[in-house]
Amino acid sequence: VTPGKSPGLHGQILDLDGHVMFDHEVVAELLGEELAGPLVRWMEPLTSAVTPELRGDARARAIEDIGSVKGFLALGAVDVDDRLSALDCLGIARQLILPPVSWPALDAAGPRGALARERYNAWISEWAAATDRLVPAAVLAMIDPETALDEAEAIAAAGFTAVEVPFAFPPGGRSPGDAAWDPLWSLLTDHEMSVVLHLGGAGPGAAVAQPRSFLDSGWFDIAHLQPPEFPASMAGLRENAAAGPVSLATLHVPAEVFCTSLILGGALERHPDLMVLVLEMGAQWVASWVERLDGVARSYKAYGLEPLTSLPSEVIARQVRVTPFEANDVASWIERDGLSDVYTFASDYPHAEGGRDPIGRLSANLSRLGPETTKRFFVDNAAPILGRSTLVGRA
Amino acid sequence: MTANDTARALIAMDDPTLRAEVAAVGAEALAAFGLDDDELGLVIAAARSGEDDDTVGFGAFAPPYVPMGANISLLQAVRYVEDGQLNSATRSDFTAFTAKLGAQGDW
Repeated sequence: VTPGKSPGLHGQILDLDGHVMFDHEVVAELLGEELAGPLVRWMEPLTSAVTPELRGDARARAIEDIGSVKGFLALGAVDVDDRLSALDCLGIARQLILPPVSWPALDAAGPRGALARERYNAWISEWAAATDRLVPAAVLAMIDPETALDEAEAIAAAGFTAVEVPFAFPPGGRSPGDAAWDPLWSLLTDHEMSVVLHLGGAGPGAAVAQPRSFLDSGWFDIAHLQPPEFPASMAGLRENAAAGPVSLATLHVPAEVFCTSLILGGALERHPDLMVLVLEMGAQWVASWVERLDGVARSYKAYGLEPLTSLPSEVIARQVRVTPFEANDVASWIERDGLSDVYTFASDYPHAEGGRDPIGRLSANLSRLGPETTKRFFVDNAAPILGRSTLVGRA
Repeated sequence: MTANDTARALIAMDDPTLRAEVAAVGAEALAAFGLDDDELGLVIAAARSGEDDDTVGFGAFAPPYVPMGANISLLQAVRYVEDGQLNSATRSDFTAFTAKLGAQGDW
């Protein structure tokens, strides 16, 4: 495989966002009949035509140019050995692995939802079992603290390093910073598991409509911004396009609210080793958010209330990681606002929207800040999540 | 001068060398396909779509980056073909072509 461009860190890069691209038949098997329908209908036109010949042709082209073939035909879309070849080419040491698209069972209540999560967690655990370089996140619902704790105990026993949680609504009807959730955060901390918020987990940005959405879809319903008709062969993608620019500009809002509630509720301060990852929602919002949280914390202190003993900015630098998009001018943000401990690399491989060469593009952007800052972005900031000792035990 | 010819041109441009040539020189590179001016416009625009965009092909239409604009030209060309009359061999090839585009996020 042709080596990729790497910022002098080839083979060391830690990647907080990768996806396993299994097809609609696996989706149907894992989700079950009741939950699989919309996602299978969305995915089937994209995956049903994938023949061994197509995959072989795509594989040959990807070996020549890793960035040119993405999606379900990418090198290592679902084959573990090929994924490791792709990581070698890109210079990635370890990659956090999430479902192909936002997982509909992420917050599904009832036994069918629990079973679908259990099946996915078992599948992905087995898929990645042969290597410590592919680090799967389990899916964990937060329907109520007791049920979540039960699910988390099973996830911990299976050796996971991260859990993806929904954030479309206050979990269990209350803040994630409420003490009722402390047993869950303690369990995750004890097992060195990070909390993942990924695009789609709150509704907007998901491939298919989620059962609950943080933002009412009416906010996106603007007649003159509706996309044109799509080709019949790609009609399913029009639904995604329909959310349009309002959705794109507000992707981060649910995660900002979730993290605000979590942090000002004191949960991260009470669990100083618990890491929270905010993935694929951009990072332009981070600096103003940190400034606002510090301001709020200071003003409440003036009234005799202390949401935190530390400033939120200190908690965030220690425990929150946010992944910019590959086209973002991260260097200018760091020059202006600092926060170099927070911004962290994610490729989104093999999703096409991750770009042709995210490592090359972001390393070029960061180069003027010097090798130490570049290494922090590509390696060090993710080390508390992907560099933990438990990974060795999984191998 | 038919949707069938346009389909053949789009399928042929799955070869990145030809696609780059069409993007660079335009109609001259498509002389073998017998396209009319409107069809040439569609195909050349499709060849040039995404050239300045780091997003890979139909990835421009994957959530949440939709629709970012560059590949509207490719979509329009595909729609034109789908709305037209194709012979059975071309229809079969074109169906496989669009399925491949969707699956690999390439082009």
